Amino acid sequence: MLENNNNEPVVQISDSTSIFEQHNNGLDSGSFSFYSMEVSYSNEKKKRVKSIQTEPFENRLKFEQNFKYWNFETNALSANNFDNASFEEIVNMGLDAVPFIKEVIEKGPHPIVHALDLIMPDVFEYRGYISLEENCKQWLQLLRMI
Amino acid sequence: MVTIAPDDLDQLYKDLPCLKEPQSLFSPESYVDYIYNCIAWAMGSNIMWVGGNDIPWQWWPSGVPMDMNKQSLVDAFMALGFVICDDDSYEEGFRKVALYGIGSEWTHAARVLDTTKYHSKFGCNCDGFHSSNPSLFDGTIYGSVYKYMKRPLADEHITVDNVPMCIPPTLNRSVWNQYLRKLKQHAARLRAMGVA
Repeated sequence: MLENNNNEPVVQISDSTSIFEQHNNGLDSGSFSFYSMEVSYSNEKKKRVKSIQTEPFENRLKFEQNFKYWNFETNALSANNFDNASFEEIVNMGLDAVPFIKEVIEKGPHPIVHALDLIMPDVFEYRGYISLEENCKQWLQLLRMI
Repeated sequence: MVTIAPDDLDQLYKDLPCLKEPQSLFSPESYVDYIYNCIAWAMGSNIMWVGGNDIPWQWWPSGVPMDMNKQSLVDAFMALGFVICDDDSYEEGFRKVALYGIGSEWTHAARVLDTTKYHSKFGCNCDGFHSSNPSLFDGTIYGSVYKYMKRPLADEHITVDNVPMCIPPTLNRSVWNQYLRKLKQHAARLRAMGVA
């Protein structure tokens, strides 16, 4: 078995290609180490993945997961529905969560509307009771301006 | 009896597995509804959420501490004309309710239909009939019955009379405009990515 300059074992191949030569500078011609090849290939791949903008998809996934968990964890509760880690995660998403909350309340009144008051405090000054339906309607009127 | 979506039923059974058992006498009587909760239902309303959170769309009788203490829920029912009674036995001319709790905190309330059957709204889920067994929900998030209360049927209007008027909130335009600018920038960025 051949060895490279660092005395690491290398595998000899019968038909060396320019690609292998480019990625294995310093190695004997016509040979490469599996280790080096994997690293080179992996780096190439990572460069390509980095070029894709994943943030919007990650946000949707994060919202949908937390929304599902929150519903699942608090579904049968009549109080303290907002004292929940998944709900807090949604609030912590900040303005990134707003388009997804809008999608939910467009389908019908939903307690998730409370997250809007926490993400965008002081937009509304509440002067007394307002029904869930009315609260969702008020927020939707604003969110449709986006 | 109403056939509710399997996912909604699964969610209910996850918190209240006892409802799966035949002896629970459980039958769903409504679809999932976020507008009202068990407390509102037991008080005689299906158009508001009566809760212990300081949130504009959650109502709580004025003058009663808005907390999870068992006595606070008793006081909330008293504010609407209920009085404490010994049990869930039938009394001509009265509506009875059962209050549930765990430790020092209230969790749930149900309408008494008769000595064998109650009618509950289950949080954000459906409402339904179930057994009156006071320990039916033992070991679940509802715990067990800690108090029975009753109100003359002639006084049922008290709840309706107390349903609060909606007071529209005041919009703080300068605050909203700041958020609107950021939200529009965010939306434009997503459109440029071909996402929105």
